[in-house]
Amino acid sequence: MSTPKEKKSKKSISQKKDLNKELEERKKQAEENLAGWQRAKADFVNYKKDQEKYLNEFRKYASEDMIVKLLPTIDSFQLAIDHLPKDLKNSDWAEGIICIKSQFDNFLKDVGVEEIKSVGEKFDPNLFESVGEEESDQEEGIIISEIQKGYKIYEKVIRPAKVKVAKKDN
Amino acid sequence: MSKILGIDLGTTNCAMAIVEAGEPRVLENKEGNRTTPSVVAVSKSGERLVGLLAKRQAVTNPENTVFSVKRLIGRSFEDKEIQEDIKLVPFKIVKANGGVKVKMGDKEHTPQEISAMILQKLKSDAEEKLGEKITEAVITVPAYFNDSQRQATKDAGKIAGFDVKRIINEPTAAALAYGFNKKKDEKIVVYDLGGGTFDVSVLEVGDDTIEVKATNGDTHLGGDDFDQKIMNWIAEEFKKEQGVDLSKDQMALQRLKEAAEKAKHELSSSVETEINQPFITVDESGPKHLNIKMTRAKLEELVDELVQGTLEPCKKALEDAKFSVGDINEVILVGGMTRMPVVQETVKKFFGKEPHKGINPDEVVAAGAAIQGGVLGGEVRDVLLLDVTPLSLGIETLGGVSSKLIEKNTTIPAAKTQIFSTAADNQPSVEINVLQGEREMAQDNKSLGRFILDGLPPAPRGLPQVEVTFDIDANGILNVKAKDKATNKEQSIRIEASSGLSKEEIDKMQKDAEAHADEDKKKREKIEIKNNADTLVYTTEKLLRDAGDKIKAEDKKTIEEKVEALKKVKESDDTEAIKKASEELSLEAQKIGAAMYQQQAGQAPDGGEQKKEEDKGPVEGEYEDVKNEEKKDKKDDDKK
Repeated sequence: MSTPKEKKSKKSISQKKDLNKELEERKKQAEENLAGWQRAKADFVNYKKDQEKYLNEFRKYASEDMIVKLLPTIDSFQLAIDHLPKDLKNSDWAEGIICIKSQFDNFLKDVGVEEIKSVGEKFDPNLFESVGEEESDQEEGIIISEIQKGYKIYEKVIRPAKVKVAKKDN
Repeated sequence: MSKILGIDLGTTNCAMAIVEAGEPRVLENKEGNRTTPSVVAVSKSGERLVGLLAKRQAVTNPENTVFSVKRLIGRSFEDKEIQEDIKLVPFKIVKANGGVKVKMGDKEHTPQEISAMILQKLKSDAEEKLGEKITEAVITVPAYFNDSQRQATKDAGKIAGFDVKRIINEPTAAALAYGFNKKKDEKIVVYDLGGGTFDVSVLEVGDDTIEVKATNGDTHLGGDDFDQKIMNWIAEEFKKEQGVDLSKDQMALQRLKEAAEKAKHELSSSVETEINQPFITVDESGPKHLNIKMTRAKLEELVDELVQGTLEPCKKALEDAKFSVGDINEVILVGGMTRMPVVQETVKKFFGKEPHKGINPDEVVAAGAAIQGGVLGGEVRDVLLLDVTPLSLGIETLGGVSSKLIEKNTTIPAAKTQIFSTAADNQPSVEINVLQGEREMAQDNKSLGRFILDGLPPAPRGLPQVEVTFDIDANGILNVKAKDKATNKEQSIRIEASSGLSKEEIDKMQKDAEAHADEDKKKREKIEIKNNADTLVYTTEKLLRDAGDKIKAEDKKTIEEKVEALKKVKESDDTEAIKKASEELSLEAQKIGAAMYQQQAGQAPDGGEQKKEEDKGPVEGEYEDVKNEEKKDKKDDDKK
């Protein structure tokens, strides 16, 4: 009589063990899933925050890309005016062209673009890119000539000025 | 748990990425760039500069600006490579116990320390970007790095404050980024042509590992060589045309360099570009302009030697791996120069296989390093890989149009709710026809199932709010529910086989949609114009009924005529006529509104409740969004 009972209880013990084991596994799995879910959710919330920050920046500097692409044209324009032939100096037509250049300059000012002053300033890699050195009576590290104008939008440098810097007299 | 940063510590540039929600995301540095130059300097004022800023001052401070330190790390002074580099670089390389040191400012630094300065910048920029501390990293190295070079790279990470979880091979990272680590025995070639070095690696996927079978390359071949070739050509052409040598004019050279880079980029997407630099130089005879055309064919001719030069290392790598070209299953392109069509073509021809180039070639190694970090951190698991819906899901609305709720390529699980309304006055029910496909018209898409939500209380068209919810779970099972917001009555359908289409069927549906895109769009526009006309007739007639006594008799008569005119053309196929009649009517109909406002000036408004409801109608009950043909027919029946 007792044997089957024992058997039964043994069986139920092993069944219970199996169940416990499964419960443990499930618990572990549930914890893992919860952690993964929480992390995904946190990632998403953080991503949204980042995106918001990025969008704000983006709005402020949205025109940057386009303006940077426009700068070479403005450089060329400036060069054209710098090399105005002597016999055209007093021409009304040339004056008109100079006025168009000034329209360009005003446009840049309106959208928050500012020229970076270079010649005579101390070299600073935040604002300038050096393309050469030359001996000069200036103090070492002072910018002696500008190869290409630099520009900022608000406080952000969109194109560093390319400059030559004074080097020590040897 | 904090993120593990994946870092591609390159010879000329670095990139970094993390894993976010299971996907790699490249992080921008403080300057807002996705790559950081591998340059470190001590400025003349004694300040330490890393990255872009160090690069900008390199010309005026060459002896204190260290670049390409990756060529030195973990090597001994006697190495052939070091002896060659000593001749090439402007900064000083000296012998130190067991290895080398470089001089920068008044101090001597080991290459590990220099690399650490770069890593430190990446670390602090990443921390600033993410707003959390980052202490763990996975750093990539070239496959040919020996133990000493790997150990030195790991040390650099330690000096920078990282717990380096693993050093992995660059080609392995690229393969991971493309998810090629799953198919056993797959053989992969990684072709990496960057700014200053060329590497080719042959990989084989084993159990849980990716084994590097062979590597080869050229440590001094990259994008700069290509730019130089283009610059030389432009200068020569200019000399031929104008007789002026630009190579002595620094300002002209600067502009030439920019023009060459621009031409290279543009010729990757178009077959011809204009190199236009007015006033490039000035001599006694006046200003000179550079204006020449460059074709892609010309560019390819110029760089042919360089591109062909990469094939010999490819051959050798295959030989060393004891594979033939036919054994290779996948080819991956890495490095900015692989954007050039001629490079892609050459690689394709050599390996007889379309190379993978979907991931940004400047970022693919960093992305792969981040994925490795994600695997180590337990964040990337196969079970968490998310699927997307291959085709759009939507319902049929007025005029047989397919209104999409869930667009194709939406990551699932996903849910979307939209409010629709009725097409006819006192419409008692709406039929929801669930559609799958990209076509604009319902009949061209696949119907997955349909059901009817009835018991809508009598109301004018456009007023009832039927909330339709599409919910698709991670297994692709779609639940569509429609609920009348007035009565809270709802009906739903469960579609198990929403993604039960074979790949061929999906491809076919996508191709069909592309092929018919224009024609479908026109059809849909036509129906929208008709629907608009329909609504205009309806609202004007309603206004005339409600407020007809408030306007002048002759105005009322013209409006009525215009309504009749629109009704007449509305069922025709002449969209232009419908559009015209609609415009005329809506112009006239404004008189009703104007008259009502004039009258109201003296009168107190009455029936506020009623008014509020009417205001709501047009806003929420987007007439063109809903309804179904059956009910429209019913409306016509009622009229009869």
